[in-house]
Amino acid sequence: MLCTDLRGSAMNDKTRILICDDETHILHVVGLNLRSAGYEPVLAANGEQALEAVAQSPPALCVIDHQMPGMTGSELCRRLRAFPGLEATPIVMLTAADFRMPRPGDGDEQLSAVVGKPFSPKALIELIQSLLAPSRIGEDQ
Amino acid sequence: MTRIDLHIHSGGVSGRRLVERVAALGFPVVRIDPDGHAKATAPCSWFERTVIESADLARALRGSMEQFDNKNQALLQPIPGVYLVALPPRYTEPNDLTPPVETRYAAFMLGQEFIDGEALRRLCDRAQLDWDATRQRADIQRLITAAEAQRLSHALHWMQEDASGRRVQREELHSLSEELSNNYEELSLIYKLSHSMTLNQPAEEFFREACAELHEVSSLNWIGLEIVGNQPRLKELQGQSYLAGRPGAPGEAERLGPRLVLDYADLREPAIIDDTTSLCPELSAHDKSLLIVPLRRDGVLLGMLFGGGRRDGEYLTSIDAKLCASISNNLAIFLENFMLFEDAQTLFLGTLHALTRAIDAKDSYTFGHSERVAALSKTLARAADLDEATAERIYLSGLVHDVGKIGVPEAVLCKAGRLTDQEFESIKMHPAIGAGIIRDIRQMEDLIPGVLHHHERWDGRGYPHRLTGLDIPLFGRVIGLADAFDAMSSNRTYRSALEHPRVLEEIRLNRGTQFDPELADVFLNLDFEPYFDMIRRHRAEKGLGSA
Repeated sequence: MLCTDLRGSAMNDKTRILICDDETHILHVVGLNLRSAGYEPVLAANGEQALEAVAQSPPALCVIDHQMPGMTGSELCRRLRAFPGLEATPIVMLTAADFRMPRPGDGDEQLSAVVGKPFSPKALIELIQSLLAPSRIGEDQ
Repeated sequence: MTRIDLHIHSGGVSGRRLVERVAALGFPVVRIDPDGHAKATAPCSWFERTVIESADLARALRGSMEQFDNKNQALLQPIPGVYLVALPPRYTEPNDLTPPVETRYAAFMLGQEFIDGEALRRLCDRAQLDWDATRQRADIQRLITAAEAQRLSHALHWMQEDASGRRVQREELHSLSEELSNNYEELSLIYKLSHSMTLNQPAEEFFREACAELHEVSSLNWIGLEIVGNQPRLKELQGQSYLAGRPGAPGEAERLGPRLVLDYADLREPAIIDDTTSLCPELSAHDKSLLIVPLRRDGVLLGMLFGGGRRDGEYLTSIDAKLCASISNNLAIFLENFMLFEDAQTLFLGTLHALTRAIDAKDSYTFGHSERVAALSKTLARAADLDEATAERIYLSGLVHDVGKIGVPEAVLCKAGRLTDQEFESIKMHPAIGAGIIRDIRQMEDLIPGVLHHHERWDGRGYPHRLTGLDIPLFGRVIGLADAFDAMSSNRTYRSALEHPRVLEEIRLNRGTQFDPELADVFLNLDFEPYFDMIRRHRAEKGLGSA
């Protein structure tokens, strides 16, 4: 795709963050805020697209909506975890408030955080920054 | 994959795409300097390059530069058979985002007319080329007619229109996403506030946090909140003020609240004041404008939300006002709820006190007894390190602990002499009667243990259930101690009050038999001065009542 080729090498140096939500406006808002914060957002409107994008190039962090038609957020998490290199990648789950959710750290999803909707985009970016902070990489090693 | 394209690069991609498409169609793109000199920017043949970089073309172009400026996508023919389709100047080279405006770009095409014309002959003479050989070497395949050039010019024009249309859409999408993002912040804040409104947190904390959060989400330099001072139902909140952020003149920002409440008492809608020099001269040096949002419920002014300036130094806008207005609505609802809660609380306590007085009135000797037991119980609960909420509930339980005496005949309650066994049995009924009276009041359910068990004894010889030790509910143990103390400290029909040291001695002697030993130890160390004050007050009130 021409547009992809023309992004230039500078774009590829940025930290890739996958965001998967069936609500386009959330993709736009989170994408915009990620871009302003210096990340490269990779947007997917459903689980299949997310898996396809991840197969091309693994992201440093994933933001995933819990309630999606077709593949649910939990199912997507489990499948992402099966990808080589994504076993320990931080995953942030978005969810409608008070929806029954696995808690961070529990279950197969191994979530880093759960963020209730409506959420503050600023707060989400801060959370992502803290999850990607260098000290964390040290811990993982 | 239908990935959503979020790339918003001031149109660079679309302009570049156009150039790519022109090149893919087989036409070189040329860059033309202000003096008319042209240079090929896309791959082209030797022959085309020679024509593009020729002095003849430069000379011809120099005279027709203005045609590029007014007619985008115009078809130019500076030399017969040389066609140039002007491309939009700013979007052609993504790496060079701001080329000088004087630089133009164009798609370059050659026609048969040029090959056959005088111009080629001149070009060959000047370059010392063989005219015939050059004609042979020209790429005949790529030659076009004037009509074809015109059609291509149209096609490129449409492409360009589509591209710039997409660019406008992308820019719109970008600004919509930004606005949406702000709305998300707003929504998230309102959600958070309405959520914390339902929690039982102190009002001061709620307002402090609300101001801080609003300050963070809004673009205002600082936010202030002033609660009116003339609304008794707001109790201790009256006249309180909160400030978040850093006003340029903090003192003046603080003084502003009470003034706004007075000066803008009639304000119904949020207002932006752009000239603040007369209102607050010191602040006007830092903030261009001031926002005032009245907090009202049912038309009654409860407070004023206000704030100054924008962090970017601009004037405040209706968007800033809108955010503060929606938050102010939540704050006003919180204030109203606070008042309603206080009303309900006042009514509840008033009813309890009335009920208590009714019991105490049955027996003039016990005037004020319930209130003293309640107060002492609360003091004891606090001294025993129980939390404040429990201490409050113990107070209420103490207030109603004798409510069951309503069901005991007055003749028995007020009897001067020794009670018969039967009379004593009827006295012993009062805890159960009391528990029965308040059982159906949901708000008082947790007070029942104090009512039912305040006559139990640590050694199990009390009533009604003969419970022992820690089986006696906490409320019962605390109130039982305070009840016995007050009974011994005041006159009764059958005896006079004991001296205070005697009373304490009795409690010490009975710790572990009648009283919870640990609670008794705490009790013996209480400060009884407030208790004696109450005794004196109750005596005075009783004197007035009987006079």
